[in-house]
Amino acid sequence: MKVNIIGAGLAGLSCAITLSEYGIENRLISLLPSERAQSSLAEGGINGALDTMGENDTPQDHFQDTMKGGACLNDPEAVRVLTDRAPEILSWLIRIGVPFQARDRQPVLRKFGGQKKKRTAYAKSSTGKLIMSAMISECRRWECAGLTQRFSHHRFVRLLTEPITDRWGNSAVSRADLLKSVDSRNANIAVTGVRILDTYTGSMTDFEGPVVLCSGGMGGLFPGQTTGTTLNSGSVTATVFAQGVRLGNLEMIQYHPTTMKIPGKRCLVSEAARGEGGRLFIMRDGRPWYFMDEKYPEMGSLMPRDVVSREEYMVREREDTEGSVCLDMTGIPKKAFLEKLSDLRDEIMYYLNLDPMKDPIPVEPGIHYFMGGIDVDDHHRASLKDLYAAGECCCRYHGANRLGGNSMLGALLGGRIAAESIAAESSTAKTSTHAAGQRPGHAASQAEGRTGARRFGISVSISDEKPEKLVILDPLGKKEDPALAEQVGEILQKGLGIIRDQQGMTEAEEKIKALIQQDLKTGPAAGNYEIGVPADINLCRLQLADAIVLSALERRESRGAHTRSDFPEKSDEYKKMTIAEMKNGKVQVSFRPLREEAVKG
Amino acid sequence: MKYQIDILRSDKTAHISYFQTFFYETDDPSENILHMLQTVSDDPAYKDRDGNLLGEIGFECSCLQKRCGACAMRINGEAKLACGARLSYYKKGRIRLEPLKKFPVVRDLIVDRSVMQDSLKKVEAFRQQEISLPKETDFLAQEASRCLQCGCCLEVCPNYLEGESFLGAAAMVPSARLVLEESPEAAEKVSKSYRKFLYEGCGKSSACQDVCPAHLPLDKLWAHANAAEVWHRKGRHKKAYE
Repeated sequence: MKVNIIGAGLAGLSCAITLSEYGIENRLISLLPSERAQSSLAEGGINGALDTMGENDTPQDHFQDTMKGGACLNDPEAVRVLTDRAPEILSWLIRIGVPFQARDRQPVLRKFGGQKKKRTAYAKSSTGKLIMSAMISECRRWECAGLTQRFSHHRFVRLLTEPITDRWGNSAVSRADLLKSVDSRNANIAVTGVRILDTYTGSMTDFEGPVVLCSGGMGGLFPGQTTGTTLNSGSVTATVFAQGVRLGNLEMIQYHPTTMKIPGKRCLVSEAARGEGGRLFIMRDGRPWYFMDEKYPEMGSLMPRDVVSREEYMVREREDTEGSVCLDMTGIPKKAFLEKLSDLRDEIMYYLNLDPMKDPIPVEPGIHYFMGGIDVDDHHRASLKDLYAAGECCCRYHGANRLGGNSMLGALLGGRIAAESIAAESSTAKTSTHAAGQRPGHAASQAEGRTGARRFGISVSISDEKPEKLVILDPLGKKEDPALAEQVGEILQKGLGIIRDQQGMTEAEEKIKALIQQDLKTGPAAGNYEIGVPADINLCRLQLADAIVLSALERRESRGAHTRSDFPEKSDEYKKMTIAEMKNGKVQVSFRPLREEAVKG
Repeated sequence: MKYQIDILRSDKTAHISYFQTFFYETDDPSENILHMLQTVSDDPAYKDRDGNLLGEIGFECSCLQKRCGACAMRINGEAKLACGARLSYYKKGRIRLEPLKKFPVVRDLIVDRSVMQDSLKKVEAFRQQEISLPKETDFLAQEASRCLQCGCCLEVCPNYLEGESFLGAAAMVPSARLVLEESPEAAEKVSKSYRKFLYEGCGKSSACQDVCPAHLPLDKLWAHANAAEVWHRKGRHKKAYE
């Protein structure tokens, strides 16, 4: 059995490395090499209650901040695991050589939005890049050992699925029943593999084996309006959604409060700027008004991102304010600036022609992260058998709003857990070099880690396996239409801004429905459209866009990143996860109650 | 301002390559070459100077902000990231775009840089030993972790040629960290490879230092890794760097 991992960012690398540690062969499939992944753009840091700053920080504090930041829409069990295992993940990163900012052999931690204590390990404001470099190097060990095989210029086309049969090989249920019954987890459809397209040659290949989706967020649904990369087109999520995979909390889209417009995208101004002392203001009566400090004296500009973005929107709407919101970093001591934020300063100087050490810089909220995505269980299993998801493409840890510093943590942990569950279900898995029960950092596990390859009797050699090439005509292999993507992006942005209402979202929904109808008439799948058999990537993307708007319409409350002017209050009735799935060719939205665990303390 | 763009188009499967010329107008001083390519490539009606449809142009990109290295190409003969090259910089209004020359061309501006991954596997650039954090922040290690693997350094290097034994700065950067940080026993293998594939082939032209779009301190990394590897002067680099 070889496991197919789609995406070579942090979640994908974490999954590949962990699978290899268990001796399970895997393919790491990505459009471009890992260096180009969005994880490399992560800036501010990664959270873990290491308590190196003498503040008595504990995983329990991390848990509470994460739940509160997520407006309690997070699955408490998931957050418990995330925050309990965060120190383990951080110590793993240190051991594989991430050069975090350090003092006395301990990582220095900085404060991030929504945190009561200093908990974010960092390396200037290029933390993602530095973690990625260490992970890529760690993964290389397993590539040389022949356990991980890279396919670096390959695009995901579709999942290969088959009905689950009984022991005599008969289909357990009829096809019509199958389409209806995708809703119960691991029900009647099993993923048997994946079809990928070589972007250099245009040929397609089918690979067998379980599939782990680590394909990132859905930024491509909002072209040019996000802080993400062009690789995260959202097409993987759109395709698997059309193939019957269940999605959750799609309406929860994070607007980062400090971004700047640059050609083709929005550029992030790291939360570290505020963590190190940057403050937001807007001009009122000819003087700067530090509105966050006034309204939230305890945390000021370091409130969770949903709160800050909303406040920015509101102060701009006021009649007595003028100009844009500005980020004032002039109070940060010079030494701290040069040591901790020099890369951010270079970027701001290049794009805005302003020196943030001397001048405040104009900032705006911009789309940054998708809390929602593929619905996964405790083992990171998605709703089809043998399908897993980790990283930003899945919906697991962040509730209605993600805290800064938790995204890389969630991606690393998600990839690890997905691999651990595959290993637990596999008969060929060996004891991991970092076995689940052992705390890394433990002397025995360190020794094993070093000799991992030898332990498995693997001689170091570059794998020379050539995949069997198949020539298949699959309409899904076509790229999405950029003009249509642009059009959908504008519709979504208009309907799903920072403040939403029934009317705006209904208009968006109608426009998307019209585009779906048009595609059904004239698109590649026109005439022979068969329910449940996706044949047109544009149609899949439109259906995903529809699902996002419908999810937002159905949530008649304001919570976290989802703020409605017509339902301004949080409502206990909606303390549930929004579920979106395709049924009989139509998007259906429902709610699933959360598991109960009160936020302690 | 109106810019004349000459782009080398090629299709490996059809065995053809030719320069195609088109015009692009913008008054935005921040407009960069990558965004220009995205704009014209996404417009199915965009025409070249002779009135032919431009069609989809092959190029790689991801972050659009000089952080991922995907869009490296030759711009007026210089190896650069297209997203970091503003049109307004080219005051004469004429820009020639070509793929990097040291790598096999796939299509238009796309080249196959997988040799860079292979080189790193060849020198076994991965840790033999787990490490702990140093007493103070290791700024040199942070710099060495910022390599984009874009290939610009190999493009300009007078000593690098694919298939030859010298592997160039892109393979040096990750190896340098290992040479500097691991114990002599653990670094034995990578040390041997470092000497054979990196130290011995480098003619010290420093061309890599000048071209690096991430502005890595490549000369320092070379110097410190050489000092550690060849003259066994390990550990001094940090002081020297600070």
